[in-house]
Order: sequence, then C-alpha cells, then structure tokens
Amino acid sequence: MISDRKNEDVPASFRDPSGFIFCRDNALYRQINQIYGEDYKQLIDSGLYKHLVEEGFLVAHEEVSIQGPRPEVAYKVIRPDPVPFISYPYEWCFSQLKDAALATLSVQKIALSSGMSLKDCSAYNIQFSYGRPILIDTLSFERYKEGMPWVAYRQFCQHFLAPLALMSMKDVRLNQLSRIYIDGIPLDLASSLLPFGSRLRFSLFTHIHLHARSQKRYADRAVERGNRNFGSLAFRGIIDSLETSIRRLTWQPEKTEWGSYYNETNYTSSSFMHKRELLGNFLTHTNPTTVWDLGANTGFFSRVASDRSIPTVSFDIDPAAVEKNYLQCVKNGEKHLLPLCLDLTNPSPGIGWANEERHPFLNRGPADTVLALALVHHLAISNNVPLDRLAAFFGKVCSRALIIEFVPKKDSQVQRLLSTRDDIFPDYQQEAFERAFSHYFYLEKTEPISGSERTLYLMVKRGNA
Amino acid sequence: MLGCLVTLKKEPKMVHAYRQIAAYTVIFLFASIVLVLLIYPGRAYAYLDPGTGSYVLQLLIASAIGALFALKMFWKRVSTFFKNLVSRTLDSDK
Repeated sequence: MISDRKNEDVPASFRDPSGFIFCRDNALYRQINQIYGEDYKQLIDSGLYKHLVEEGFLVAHEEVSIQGPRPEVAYKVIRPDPVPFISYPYEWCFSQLKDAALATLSVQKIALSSGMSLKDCSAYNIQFSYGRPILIDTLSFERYKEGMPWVAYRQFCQHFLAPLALMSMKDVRLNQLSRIYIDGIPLDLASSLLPFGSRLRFSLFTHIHLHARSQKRYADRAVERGNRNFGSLAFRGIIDSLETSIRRLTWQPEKTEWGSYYNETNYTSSSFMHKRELLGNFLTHTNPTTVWDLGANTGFFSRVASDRSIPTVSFDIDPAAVEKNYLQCVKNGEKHLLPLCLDLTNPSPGIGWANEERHPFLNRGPADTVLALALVHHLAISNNVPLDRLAAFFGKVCSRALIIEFVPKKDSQVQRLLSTRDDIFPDYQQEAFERAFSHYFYLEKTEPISGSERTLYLMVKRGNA
Repeated sequence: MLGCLVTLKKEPKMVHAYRQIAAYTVIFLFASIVLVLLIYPGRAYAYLDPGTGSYVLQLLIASAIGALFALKMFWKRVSTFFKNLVSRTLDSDK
C-alpha cells in the first residue's frame, strides 16, 4: 500500500453513497464503497464494463491497491483514465448536448442487455474525451430491478430533453438555464417556456408537459412503491421514446454576430495565411502541452495547434460558431480539439454546494499556452477592460506562453466598434499594450501581420523564460 | 419477379392500415388512462418527493409506451423482411 500523503475529496461526488472521487499526488482516484460492491461486481463480471469501454462509451479504469480516505467502508479503489479537460453542459453547443444525451441512452440500452441500468443520468457524468462523449461515472450502474420504472427518468428529462427542446424550439441560449439549475431545468419551467407546438409532439407532450403536471400533482403525495409490474417492454419503450424525441430535435446555426466574421474582417486572404504561418512558427518554438484558444470563432487557428496533436480547447461566446466548430470536429474525427461556449466577460463560475461542485473557468487552468487572436480590442473597447487588467487576466490563465494579436485603433474592426461610442480609450495604444503586458510576460517575438496593421506577439510568462 | 412486386405493393398497405388503427387505439387508451389517473390520483400521504410525479407518470404511460414500442419493433421486422425480400429478388434477377 502507498501511504497517504495528500487526501482530498473532490467536491463533485459527495452525493453518491456508492463511492467518491479523491485526489492524491495529482492523480484522481475513485473509492468504491462496500454498499456498491455487488453492483460493481456485476458491472465487471457481466462483461458490461469491457463492452462499454471497447465501444468508447465509458471511461476506462484500473483497480489499484492504495488505501482510500475512508477504508472502513471501502470495497475497492480504482484509477480512471484522466479526461483532458472537464467541461459542463452550459458550455456545450446544441449538438454536443444532443450527442451527450444519445451517448447516455446508448449506454442505458447496452446496460439493459447485461441486466443493469443507469441509476442516475446527470449530464455532468458525461465528458468529451478525445472527440467523443463518454460516461465518466463508473458507479452509475445498478442491477436492473424487474417491474420497477426507470429511476433516472426524471434526471434524463431535466438534464437533456428539456434543455435540448428549449434550445431547438425556443432559443439556443436557453442552455444557460443549466448554469442556474444544477439538477437540470425544472420541467414546469421548460413546459411554460416551450411553444405550443411542442405539445403536438407525442414524446415532448408526454416527457415534458405531462411529466411536469405529474410532478406538480404528486409533489406532496406519496405512492406505495411496491413491485408495479412495470414490464421490460415499457422500460425499453421509454428509452426508445426518449431517443426518438432527442433525435428529432434539431438546430440550424443561422448567420450570427460572429458566424461570418472571417468573411467580413479587413483581412486579405494572404494576411490571414501569414497569421496562420506565424502562429505555426510560434507553436513550434514553444511546443506547448496544452492550448486554450480564447475567442476562437469556428476554430480555424485552434486547428493549427490541435492538428499537431496538442490537446486544444477552443472557446467562443457564439453558440453558432461553436456548433460549426464541433460539427467540423465530428465530421473530420478530430480528437484533440474541444470547442466550448464561453463568455470571457462573464466566464463560468463555481456552482453547486459551497460553490464547489462545478469548477469555475479559471480553476480548470492554467493552460500551458493561450491564444488570444483578434480578441484584445473586443475586451478593451467593447467591454471597457483596462489594459493592465487584461494583462493580469492573461497572466493567470496561462502557465507558460501567450500568443496574442494587437489590433490598433486604425484597424477597420476597431473603427466599427468605435463608430457607436465615444473614444474614451486614450490608453489603447500599442506602446501602452506592450508596457502593461511586460509586467507579466517577456515579449519574446513581435511580428507584424502582412497586409494589415496588426501585430502578433509571442509572450513568455515571467519566471519561465 | 412480377408476382413478388404485386405482393409487395399490397402487403405494406395492409400493414400500414393495421399500424394506423393500432396506433390510434393505443393513443386513445393512453389519453383515457392519463386523464382518469390524473383526475383520481389515488391514496395521498403528506411528504415531499420531487421524484414521485416522475415515478407515477412512468406507471401511467407504461402500457401505451410499451404497446407503441412493440408495434415499432413489429413494423421494423416487417419492413426488414420486405427489404430483404426485394434485395434478394433484385440480386436473383441480376
């Protein structure tokens, strides 16, 4: 046994009596409690674990012989394969949430064929790993109880069906409700927000509208939960109905603020390609272990990093740009790029119990190298962030290098931003920019982008040069 | 070959009609059950459980959902049978 050096329960897993995640020596482990022993045994012995891992639906793990933090109730300790980046449903685009929902239902169907069933269906149990949605909670399975309804039905409807229906039929931005309601969108709220047409779809009428009515009606009543003879046909019928319902929900990204950004900038195609070439040279120079591309649009420049097999997260505020980026990843089978929705002016906070269950954006970093291309003017001028604060932020978000583009006032994009507001940004000058960032970084390379007024910098964090 | 095609044209229509009648019957039964059970909820106790409504709903829709699923599976088998028949016929004609 390895002796305990640093024990820390991970706050995201305290609710489940079956076990919990803990961190030791920078590695994540999961203690499986005795109460879950029989279920875990069936998961392994039935071949379900092997099947799901081979199909790429479940995170792989190995059983280890270290002592967990609560050995008196421990059955086993496992070490799951690490996930490159933890993301949350309110950061996913429509198709990411849809794929996560379908992956969950596929897992459930495979589990049923092995005499097991998912006992919870939280969207937080799904993570994107190497381009695919996978279940990361190995303890989500229980032995199927003949005659009983699906215990995770409510959670599936609240975590997946309701937000997808709202995004598809009302407004794609409504996935942000997941940020407020950590256990999924309340069905009465979804029911009241959805358009009347949703009632004409049998599955949505049943699983959302009628479901919401039923929840309200039985909120203060009890029913005897004996064996209700809920047949396996009905059980499979509900899974099938949910799957059909999810598959029918679609969302088409329209032309949005940033969707056609590349076509409307003052870049010539040669300067665009020159910028890509410079970025490639900078990445060769720094050879990063991880990259975050902030303000990535549809991920054109993120791919300069991810095509080199560097784990890259591509953040953008626009759900349409992220959707296009994700669909491209799926189409090309890209494994090293994860597109996510993020408003940098109001990034994901810590939410849940004690603000600790889901990590804030900054706590999931820092990234080795950060890209901030054609971004600074939006933060400094549209959002009034002074340059010294911008520099401090980028100093926090990357651990080694920053590749950042300065867009001067005479650039047409900045002129467009200034056309509807007073120029109250006298400090927004290249010299002031360099001065502010020099507090946190060495300016290692400075390259003008040909055919434009812009400059691309490679900055190395002080203390790392 | 011609005989197969004539049979093919007739059979799906019959199956389609059967499918529609069965679907309407199931939906009618489903609506009746749901209405009756939502109006008469049965025994009530005083404790709060947000999951109870989800549990009850599944029991209410079990028969209808189960029947629709069985019907879907049946339809899938029928269509697969005819698809296989057509492809086999076409293969043998080549």
